[in-house]
Amino acid sequence: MDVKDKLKILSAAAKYDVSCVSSGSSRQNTAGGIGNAAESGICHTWGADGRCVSLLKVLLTNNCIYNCAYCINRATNEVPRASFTVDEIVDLTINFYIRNYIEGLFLSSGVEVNANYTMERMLLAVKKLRLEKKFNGYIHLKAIPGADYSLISEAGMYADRMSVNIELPSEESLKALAPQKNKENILLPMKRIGAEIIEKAEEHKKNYKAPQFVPAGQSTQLIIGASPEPDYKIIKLSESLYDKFNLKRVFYSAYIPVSDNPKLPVISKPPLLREHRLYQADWLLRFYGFLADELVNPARPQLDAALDPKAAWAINNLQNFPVEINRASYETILRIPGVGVRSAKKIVTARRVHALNFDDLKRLGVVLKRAKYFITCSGKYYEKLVFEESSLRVKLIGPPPALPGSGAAGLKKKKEDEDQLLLFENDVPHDVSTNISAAVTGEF
Amino acid sequence: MGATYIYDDSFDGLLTALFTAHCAAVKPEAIAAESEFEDGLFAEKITVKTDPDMAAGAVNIISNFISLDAMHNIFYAFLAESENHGGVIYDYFSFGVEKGRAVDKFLHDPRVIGVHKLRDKLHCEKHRLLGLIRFKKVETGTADSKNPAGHLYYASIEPDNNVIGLVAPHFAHRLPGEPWMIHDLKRGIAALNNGQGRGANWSIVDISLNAAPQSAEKEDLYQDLWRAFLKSLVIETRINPKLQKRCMPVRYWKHLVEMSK
Repeated sequence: MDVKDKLKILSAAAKYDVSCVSSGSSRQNTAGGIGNAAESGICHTWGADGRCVSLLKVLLTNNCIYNCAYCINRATNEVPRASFTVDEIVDLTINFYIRNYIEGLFLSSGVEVNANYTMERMLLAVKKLRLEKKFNGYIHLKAIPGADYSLISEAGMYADRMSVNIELPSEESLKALAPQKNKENILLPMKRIGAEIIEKAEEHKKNYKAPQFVPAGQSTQLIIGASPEPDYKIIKLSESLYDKFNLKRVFYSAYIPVSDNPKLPVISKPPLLREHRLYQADWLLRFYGFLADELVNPARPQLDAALDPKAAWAINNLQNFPVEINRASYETILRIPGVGVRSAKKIVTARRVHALNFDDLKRLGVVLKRAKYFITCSGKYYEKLVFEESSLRVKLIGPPPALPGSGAAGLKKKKEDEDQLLLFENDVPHDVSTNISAAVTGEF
Repeated sequence: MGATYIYDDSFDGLLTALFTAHCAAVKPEAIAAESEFEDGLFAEKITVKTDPDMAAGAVNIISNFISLDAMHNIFYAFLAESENHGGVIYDYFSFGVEKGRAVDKFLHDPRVIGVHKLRDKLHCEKHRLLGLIRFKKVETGTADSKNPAGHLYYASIEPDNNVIGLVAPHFAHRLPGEPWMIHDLKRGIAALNNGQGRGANWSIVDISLNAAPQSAEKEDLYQDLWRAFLKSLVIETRINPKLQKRCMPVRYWKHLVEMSK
């Protein structure tokens, strides 16, 4: 089998891993070496599915001894199998990198023979890249659950990011769908990687020559919709992963049917809107100072499909509004629906030299579409409105289609909403489908 | 009605005009580039002769009496080759002289917004190109002392703005040991790295090529592998060409290995 056939098989086998992030590391070029890492991360191209491609994302092999029901590479699935040699991986990485196709390598693998054997082979590939080829580009490496920690730890000396995928958000689902795996095997390496990241970062702070360990941090992935957990459980899990295991990112992957196993739900389309809402909630945890319990709770276990989670939080907590733009703290402004980190920063900067009114906000680039219902500028409201949950909800989810925006601006706005809606085509719960175009926004 | 100062399209020319305006008792109405200025019936025009000392004077005023950030903003707004950028910069400069280092806090003021928008436009395209530049390995003839590698990594671009000087340092840090060239076809200039290792070994030169450079051995193979990789990476149930086009505007496709065929 030639390299091209292997590449086709082993990239298709890796594509359900959604992470393709190349940020968080500022690895420098070394003398005689090739490459470096860009702190901000760089997208190199976008696939026909609109997903950004920044790394050569492949499996070392798609042979796997496990038989996880949700996975395309499960042992009993009849798909073509292939394995790269270490040299093939190295050659592809270097040659793609030098042509500026990619930021680096994302290497994962099916579990062949056993966890240690697989981890050792992955380690060989990164060591060859780093030590022999002096490659300083970005490397994201999967830690294989069940492998000796000494191997994982050694790999962490060469990788920029490591990840262990949890995939199923609860122990019961794991037992049902991936009986050969267990919770400890997944969580233990995550915990130890998290602890070692903190420890090595401390050493590195004291002595810049001390080796770095997984400088871009650790991430994981949860599959959404393959198992019955509500959003509440998922968001609580993410929150504790951020707080307790020091994770940098949790990725959510809408379940795409790859098997007709009776234990899996029968769905025609992946739950993309739900995935989108979870990402929005995740952003609120990481950048907006929200706690999971503010967004969902046992009494309200699912995120609102029709409203973004911040707007949903706001109309359930109207006692916090309206917010006075010219006086409120930065943290309070961040909680206004429709106001992002950039807008909030602009507001607190500009108001130091000038009392802001609604026109000023527009010029600042603040999107007032949702924010206008929740703010005052020097005591003035945008328009007279009843400050009450049900009427606000109607306003936020949007007017019925019979009342489109007038003029060119209105048309343009409508066009944008349609564009954004494309992601979620035919994927909307029936009760809100008519109003969804106004509710779905790309704020995050 | 005040006069319009005309400068010669260069950055030094613009700075000279700013300095002249700053020193003048009667301020000009506007500043415009020679190539853009349209003679009006009533417009009085004064052509400013580019002078390095006066340009340095403007740099001094901007850096010391406004801020280094303002100098950065003005340079970036100049590189963003937008219509009337000279006029936009003049408004920002005058406002900056009035407000000093606080000028960039007036984020609601059109005079500040104008320059910030141009600056952001440039930043955006620069960052985009860091990802979208595609090098092709090409032959440069028999290796000799001037051409030690016998090959070159060549990339062609046609950016909206003059970003080549901003993207080149990124690649100089990243690929210091490889000879490479990033060729801006629109402006007939190229950033050239000699591949002699780390340090500032790159420069910008005027260039025009008569024919497309010859691909080196194995170049087609890697292009083919790259296309195959991208094709099999797509998740069919998520196909979304509109999203793809929004993230990666079609005007860049011409120079992308994966989109041009």
